[in-house]
Amino acid sequence: MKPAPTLLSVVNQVLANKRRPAIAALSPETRLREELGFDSLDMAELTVRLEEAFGVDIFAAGVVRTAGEIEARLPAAQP
Amino acid sequence: MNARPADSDCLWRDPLSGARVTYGELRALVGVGTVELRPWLRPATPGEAVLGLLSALLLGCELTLVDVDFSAEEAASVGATAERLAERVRVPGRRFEDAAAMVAAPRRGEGGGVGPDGFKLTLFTSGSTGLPKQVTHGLAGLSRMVRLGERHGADVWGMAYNATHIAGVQVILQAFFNGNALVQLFGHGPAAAWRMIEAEGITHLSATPSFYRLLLGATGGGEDGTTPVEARGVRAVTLGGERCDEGLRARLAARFPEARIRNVYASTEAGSLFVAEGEVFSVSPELAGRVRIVDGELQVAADLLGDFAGDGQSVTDGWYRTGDTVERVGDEPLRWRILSRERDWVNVGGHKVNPGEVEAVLLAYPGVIEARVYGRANSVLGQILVAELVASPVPDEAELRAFLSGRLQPAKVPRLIKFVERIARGRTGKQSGA
Repeated sequence: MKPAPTLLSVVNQVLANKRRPAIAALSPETRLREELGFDSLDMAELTVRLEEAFGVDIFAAGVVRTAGEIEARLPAAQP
Repeated sequence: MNARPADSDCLWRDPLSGARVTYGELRALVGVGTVELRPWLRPATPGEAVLGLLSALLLGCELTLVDVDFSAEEAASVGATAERLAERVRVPGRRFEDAAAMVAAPRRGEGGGVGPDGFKLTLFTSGSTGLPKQVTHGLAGLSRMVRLGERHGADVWGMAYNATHIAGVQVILQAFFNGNALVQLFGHGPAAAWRMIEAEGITHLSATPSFYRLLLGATGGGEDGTTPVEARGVRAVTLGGERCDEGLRARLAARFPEARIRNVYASTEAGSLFVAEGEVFSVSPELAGRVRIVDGELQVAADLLGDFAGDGQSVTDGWYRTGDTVERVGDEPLRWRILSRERDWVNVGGHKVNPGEVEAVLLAYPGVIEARVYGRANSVLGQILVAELVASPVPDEAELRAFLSGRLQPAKVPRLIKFVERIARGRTGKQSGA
């Protein structure tokens, strides 16, 4: 069985599609654009993938910049 | 007088289910004193669609055809509520002396013949927003491309379109007016379809490029050095609906060596309008002066269209702007080559992306048999590009992405790539973009 998706696994999927190496961990302060080099297309892909995994549109309630802000909008059952 | 068709001749059949409809059944159906018709029909089978359509035509009634693929929600959104679908109207029947008189009636219109006056057909198409759009046609628009004559008397049509879509309706009318049989291929999968082309003696095929790609992919095409499997009984192969690449034409010519291969330019708004042998379309004499090219865009006279709730922008001074980009090849008659169909442009963060262009690149990748590219609503960019692919073998996604990145601008590279067994065609294939 596939492990349940996490924000980290989805971020790594977007990075893999950009041919960037995976990261080991996300801290709540990690800024996606500045630190991970996400552009608008990457952010869009991230939102769609998170929506598929968690059923939540993280941008629906306004712009998010950090991993912590995203986590706060995902369902609480996150490990 | 042409004795065809006889009552016992087949009008439509589905060799897989064994269902069939004869000309005699249709004649009996409309020939009673009072006929009960459904003004809104969501046919359970293509045979039911054929009977419903032709009854309405013969009795001069209005009919709204609702796709069986519609979800209950979609059906309700176009007004096809359970009450509507259960409605019946009682109209006087028409008796025809024989089946041959029946197929001749709608086009004769005088004497004892039935005029098409009261007949109107309403269909639904997916608009660029994904919401169904309603279009109403009279017989003139639907039968513009119908070819009649003795030489068509023994044609056998492969029914490779959904019977509730305009292209399917046009194939039904072409077959009916010539007393031909329709053989159900749509929905049966490519391998079964190929077998039926041979076994059922199909002479005419009309389908989308995607249908042909799948069909050819299901049988030996000689790629491995063996002799390609041919279907010599097919005399005409028509492509419509999407842009056809020359590679596909060449492969079709190899597998249907006796067939004339034509492209048809059609839209749900206008029905079929133009035909091309090769890539160059031209205007037939009866449409001369009603087609023009302005700034590289194809425009057609608005009176060629069915009635539809336009968006207010597509018709200007009596001309319908197709949104299709074309290259003028010659004048008198006007001739052109299509560079891109309007279809559903996807707006990815302000970049207008033509899904057809992206599909063409995907189809060039080894193993990809079928591709569908569409937009999905996204809160960051407005829309995000999604690709659904049928591929064998399934390619490595990272390698495919590298291939695409080398050939397309970033906004044109699908961000989600889904490998699927088959592609849901038509409106239900669309993501609702929640």
